[in-house]
Amino acid sequence: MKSLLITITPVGEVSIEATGFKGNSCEKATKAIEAALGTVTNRKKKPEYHTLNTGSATQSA
Amino acid sequence: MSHWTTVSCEFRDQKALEAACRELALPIQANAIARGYGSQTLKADMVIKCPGPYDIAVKRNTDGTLGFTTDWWAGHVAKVVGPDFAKLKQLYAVQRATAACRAKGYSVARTTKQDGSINLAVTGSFN
Repeated sequence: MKSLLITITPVGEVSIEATGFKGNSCEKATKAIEAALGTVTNRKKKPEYHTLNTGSATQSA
Repeated sequence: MSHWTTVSCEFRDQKALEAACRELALPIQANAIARGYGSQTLKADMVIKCPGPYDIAVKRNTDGTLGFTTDWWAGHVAKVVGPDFAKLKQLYAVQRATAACRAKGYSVARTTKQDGSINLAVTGSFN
């Protein structure tokens, strides 16, 4: 399941962890939140980032 | 994907600041006078009124960020907003992040950890 975990330390440091996303769809999910907060200082990708985001596609015969 | 991001939080949003002040039970007044040491006063765009003898003056900087000025003497202000505005920074970020998530239609569940960090668990349709 896709989810985000935003952690704010007692001195106001913010980190955002995105879990359960495939490909780079996670960046779209966190973009607005990051922009609202300030400047991204570091980004680290998890292994799933390098998985293709397989959207659903139907094909009618 | 999944990723970790570290964000340097900037004070920009007045509504989030007001909400953070409400959580700390500190009134915030527009175009007011902040009390300083030895009856010095400072007029400011906004003033966060503190229970002790000094207030926090808030001004909008030219780059759009909010700047804070106060007197840290004897810990009066640190007692209510934390050293170097730590508590205010934390609650501002919590309010700002929560509002940004809700604006996207996400759900936010807030919890406080033992070390004082605040977690926001965010779910929703991330399309």
